[in-house]
Amino acid sequence: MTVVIIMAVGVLIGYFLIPVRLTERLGKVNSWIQMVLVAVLIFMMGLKLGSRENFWQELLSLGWKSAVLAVVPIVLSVALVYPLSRKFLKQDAKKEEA
Amino acid sequence: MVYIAIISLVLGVLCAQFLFSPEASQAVMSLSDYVLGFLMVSVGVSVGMNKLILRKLREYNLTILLIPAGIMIGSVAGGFLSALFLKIPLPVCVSVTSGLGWYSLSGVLVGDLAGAEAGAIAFLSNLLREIFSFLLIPFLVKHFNAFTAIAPAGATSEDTTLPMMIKYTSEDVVVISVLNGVICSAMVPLLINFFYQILT
Repeated sequence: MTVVIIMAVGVLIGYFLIPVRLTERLGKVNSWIQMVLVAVLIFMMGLKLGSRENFWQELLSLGWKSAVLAVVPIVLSVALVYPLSRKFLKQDAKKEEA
Repeated sequence: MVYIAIISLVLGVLCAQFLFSPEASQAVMSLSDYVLGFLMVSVGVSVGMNKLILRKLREYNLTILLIPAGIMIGSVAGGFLSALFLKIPLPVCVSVTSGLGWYSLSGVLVGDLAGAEAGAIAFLSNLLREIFSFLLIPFLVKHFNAFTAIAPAGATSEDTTLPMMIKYTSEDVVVISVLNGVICSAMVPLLINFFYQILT
């Protein structure tokens, strides 16, 4: 919950305090900051993982579980968006016929 | 970004295994909440700064919101379904698939909520989602339609998978793809927190 509140503070800063003419330049700086912070956090996650005793055995089982958790949501997302787009988003129809 | 993320992860693991003492690792890890706090402010700022996108969204018919809605429902349902046959707790499964392909953020958020192993699954699985989406775009455009090609990409449809969308679809679909990515990205932290909390 704290995370969401902190993010909401960021949204308000971005929406009200940053003038439109600066958004492009500050957007670049901001995404650079994000990249650095994410790299640091992932490094810390690696530390946490690497500190575990059975790390190398666990790695194998993580791999295929992760693959399942990638494929199943992809399939279901496609299964929902395809009928919705056919029914409600008509501008694509002519391209389909061609 | 993919390379940076993978290198950071591997470096972390190697440091913990071979370089740092357990106490040193512990000390570094204790800072992670603060770094996460800064990251979330930064993510919020990028969502809030997108005034132009918010205006564009009003120009378009609201029916395009069906795409992110379908992606979110499909992905969350995918988490529930996967929990049936994976030996992973339901809250972890659903929060992992709520990452919508945004591997860096979801890895960090799920890790913070459910521990390092869950974080690693979130990271890997969303990274795989991004890679699969990238490869699936041409296939989906050809055999389904251009809008459906946005579906696997989820939150990545505004950045990493966008080049593929630009290459294989038309301009209006690209704009929708960007809108979809912005909406999905804004929803990722909310979905992860929401589902992890109500399911535990």
